[in-house]
Amino acid sequence: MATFDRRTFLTTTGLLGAGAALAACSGGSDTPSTGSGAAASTAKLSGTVTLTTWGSDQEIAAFKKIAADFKAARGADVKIETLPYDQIRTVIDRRLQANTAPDLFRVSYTDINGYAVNGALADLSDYLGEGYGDQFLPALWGAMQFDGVPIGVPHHTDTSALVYNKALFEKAGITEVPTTLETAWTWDELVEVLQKLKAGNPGVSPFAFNYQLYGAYRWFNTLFQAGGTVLSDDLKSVTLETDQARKALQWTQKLYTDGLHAPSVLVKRPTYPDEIFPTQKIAMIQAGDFLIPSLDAAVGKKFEWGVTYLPRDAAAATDLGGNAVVVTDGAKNKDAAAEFAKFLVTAENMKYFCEKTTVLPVRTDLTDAKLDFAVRPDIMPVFQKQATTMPEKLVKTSTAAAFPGINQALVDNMDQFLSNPSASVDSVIQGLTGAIQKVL
Amino acid sequence: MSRRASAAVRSERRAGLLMVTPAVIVFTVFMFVPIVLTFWYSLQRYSGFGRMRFIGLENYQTIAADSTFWKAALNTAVFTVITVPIGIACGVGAAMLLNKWMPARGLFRALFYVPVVISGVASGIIFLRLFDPVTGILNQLLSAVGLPSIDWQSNGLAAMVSVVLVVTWQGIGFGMVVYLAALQGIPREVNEAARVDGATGLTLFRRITWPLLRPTTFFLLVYSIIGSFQVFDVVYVLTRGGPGTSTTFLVQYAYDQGFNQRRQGYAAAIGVIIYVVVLVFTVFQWKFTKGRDEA
Repeated sequence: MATFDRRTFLTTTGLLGAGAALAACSGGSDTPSTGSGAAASTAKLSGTVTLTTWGSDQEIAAFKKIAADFKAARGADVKIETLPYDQIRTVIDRRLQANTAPDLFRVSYTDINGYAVNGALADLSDYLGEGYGDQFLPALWGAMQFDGVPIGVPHHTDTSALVYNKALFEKAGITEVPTTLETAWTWDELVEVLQKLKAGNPGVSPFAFNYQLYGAYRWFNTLFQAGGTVLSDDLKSVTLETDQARKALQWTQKLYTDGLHAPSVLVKRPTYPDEIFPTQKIAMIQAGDFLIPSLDAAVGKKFEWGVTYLPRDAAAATDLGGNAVVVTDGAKNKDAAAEFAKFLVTAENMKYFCEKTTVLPVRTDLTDAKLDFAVRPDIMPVFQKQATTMPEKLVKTSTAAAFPGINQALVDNMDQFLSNPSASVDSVIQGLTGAIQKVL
Repeated sequence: MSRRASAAVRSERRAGLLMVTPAVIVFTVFMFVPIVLTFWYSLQRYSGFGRMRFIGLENYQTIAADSTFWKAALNTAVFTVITVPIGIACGVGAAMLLNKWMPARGLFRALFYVPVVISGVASGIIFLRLFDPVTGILNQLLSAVGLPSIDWQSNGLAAMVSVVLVVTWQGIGFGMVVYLAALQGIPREVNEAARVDGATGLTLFRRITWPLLRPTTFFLLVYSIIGSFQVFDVVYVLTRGGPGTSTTFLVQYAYDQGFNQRRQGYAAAIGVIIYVVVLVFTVFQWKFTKGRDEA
């Protein structure tokens, strides 16, 4: 698979602007346009709505600030309810079952369809109006459609890159890291780097991937880097019986068996590499840009850390991260809930949220806006450029209705595969193919 | 029966009914209704919210061919075979030790019993810290004495050992208390007579104490088997059933299917199977206890 150039990628995936939005850190207009597909409503609202979310301290603070602004502008109260990330889905599910669901909740692009197919989400057509979706990146607005109607608003996107400990790199004699996408390490070069890290830092794991639980799908970065795919073009059949998939699996497993990957950081348990990284027990991790504020707070002045590009093999590739906000079909105050969802994603509020939480905007009118990231603006361009390597097919796969089941198939099969050095590649391909085919 | 006597009987019956009413309500709402609903859900295709579709026995047919279910069943059986005897042996050992006079005996009894009253989730979190391969105290101790670290979370056998250790630690206190009560129920004269006949130490335990503890042991055996079929909280926190399916037990698997995979009908069917297995052991214990009580 050839690496996309930025323009081709943005055009083909409809994510035009995801990369540019961050590129604009270094220039562009200061103010986003206020245009939107639907005229902004100013009618007064009453009552209280609840938005259930997970989030870093910075994200929760941003949500609360926007909720306070909404109260001042429109009159309705918005209660921000915070849950741990790994509990959000089960809690929301149980509340839907008990008819006690919140009015709104935050949901990943990869999970939204799991709710839509079960009729849990409100049809927002009457609230959003004609042409409302034109202000968002087409691929992500497309992910908001179910049976031809909008079921949410895209809030932001994010992606993964490599976060590394500079002190441990220097100790291992590694003084340079790739500074452009084109010079990103190949898989072989990355393995060499990890071997040096292992030799130079006894007792420290060289590396850890962020493949845990709901993030298991991030292994697809590796698959797509090898030139593999998950599903056929029509998203109806599994395409893992390939040499590329075998290569990706073998390479991933070898990192574990050669002691280059933290052995306890697997797929099924919530042992997140970004929580271990500040302890200096892992030299480098694959991590999302949304983790920058929490990493910065946890590391403090203990050591210096930087960011470089994901490795590449046949191609460069990274994952589609990010979240939408949806209104539940049983919301007691649907009017206020829908209006708050719209308020969250106005140009001004999206810009504010992205700047405070180091994530990428999904509005087309923010693609050239200057974003002043609150934390580590120096490393954000790496994520911005890395975002341009999201393969079109991976974006389509990630927003497919069956994706929650696909992710669960990875959780079950990859954990078994990576924790067992004698597990065969053929058996995991068979397991994944069978499990994914079942959910399609 | 005189009118006064029958009025007294009626009054007594009313009082009796009044007294059992709260228990009946609680049992009905929190036990009977969920059990019936579980049977009903097990015949449905249901994600937990949204539409429910009746599929008859299809979930049970799927379970029969589900290799992960059988792996979970095997793990549960192995876990039971290992933890039950160890738990009973540790319980009787602790009881024998703390049945004799010793300094701070009450404190030691309390210390042994503390794990029983700590929630499984809290215990799991504590041991998660201890067993962490990177930052855990256990591996740091092993390294300090020059031994290799153990991959508690990425090696299937080590993960199973960690679960067995935590569950055993949790259960010793309960076994100890039950055995202590039984030991204190053994007449002193029996032990004295045995000593007069020359029995000491191990012989006294093997020939006198252990046989007299047999009913207690049987109760604990059945109780522990039922408990081990229902183990969940510690496993959920400690290993999530991993690595792979190395520590996936039946309840963990049912939870995973119901809440992570949104297959609540399928999870209910697994729940029904666990219910039937536990019911068999419960009936067995009830029959045995009833027979013994009537003897």
